[in-house]
Amino acid sequence: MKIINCPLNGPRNSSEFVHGGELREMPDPNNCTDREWADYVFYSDNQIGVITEWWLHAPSGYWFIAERHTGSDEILRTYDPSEIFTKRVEFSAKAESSQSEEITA
Amino acid sequence: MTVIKPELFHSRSFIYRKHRQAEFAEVNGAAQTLSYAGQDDPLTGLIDLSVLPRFGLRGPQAGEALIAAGLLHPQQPNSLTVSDDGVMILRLGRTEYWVLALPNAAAERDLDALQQQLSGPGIYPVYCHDSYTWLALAGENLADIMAKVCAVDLREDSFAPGDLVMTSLARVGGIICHHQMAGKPVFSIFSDSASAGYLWDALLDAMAEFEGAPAGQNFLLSSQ
Repeated sequence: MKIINCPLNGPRNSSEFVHGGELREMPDPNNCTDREWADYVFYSDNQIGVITEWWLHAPSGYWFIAERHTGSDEILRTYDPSEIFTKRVEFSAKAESSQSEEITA
Repeated sequence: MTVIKPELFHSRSFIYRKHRQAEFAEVNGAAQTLSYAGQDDPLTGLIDLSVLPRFGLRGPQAGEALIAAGLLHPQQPNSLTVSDDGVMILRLGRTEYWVLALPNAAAERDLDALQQQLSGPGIYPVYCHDSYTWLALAGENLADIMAKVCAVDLREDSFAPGDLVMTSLARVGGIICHHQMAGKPVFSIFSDSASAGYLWDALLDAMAEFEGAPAGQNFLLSSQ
């Protein structure tokens, strides 16, 4: 079985891991177009080469980042997301239109 | 005198129906198995501790709150501490901890009060009581038994007392914690409550060739 090196738990069988998709910069959810949001959520580039991905170590519920070559399927490096995400990501709620307020009132 | 049975309580172990031949005592508003009737102590025992009190906390302030409360703080993720009065603390990540009362402390320590004390800004609760089953595997040949269901090397030289691993065992996710009680090595196993019955049977099956059998908490408290 393939072995993946989890930054928290060490080398483990790949059956303990779940793929979480490519790591990409999130567009501003309040101001981006639907196409940009769909591109972020659903579509992947499907390129050959080294890509940066989210992976989950399922038994510990631990998300980390891996750099993987899509051709050879070799995992080159795994690391804690704190290397990239240094502060909490905050979301501001989109202001609802006044029309919907009238309907619910 | 009323005979204590799991059915007397609303709070029950997920696998209380498996303990037909057992004697119980009331702990934490539920029935804890004390011993299995008509049975000598086995070489290796599997004990259901699911009803014992425990809670979890996580967040940037969680570690400092544990230290401020005078509890033993595990230095590294994937390690644990056990205090003299039987409070076990697991460190499951950089900022996630579980606090548990071992059988010798479950009656005395008020974990509800401790949980109140360990709250505040930067600390979030983690629910680990009703969602996780707690099984303890204690006695001889623990690493050999676990080798049949788990891919991680759990022999003493790579998995010392005070270590814990989060991995899959018998194909379900779980946390395995190595500690000692009454001079016996103990592997405390935490796994999703939904698969508790399956895991109980799978571990008993793995133990069978090592003369393992189900037991109660008295097995953990009596020295060999």
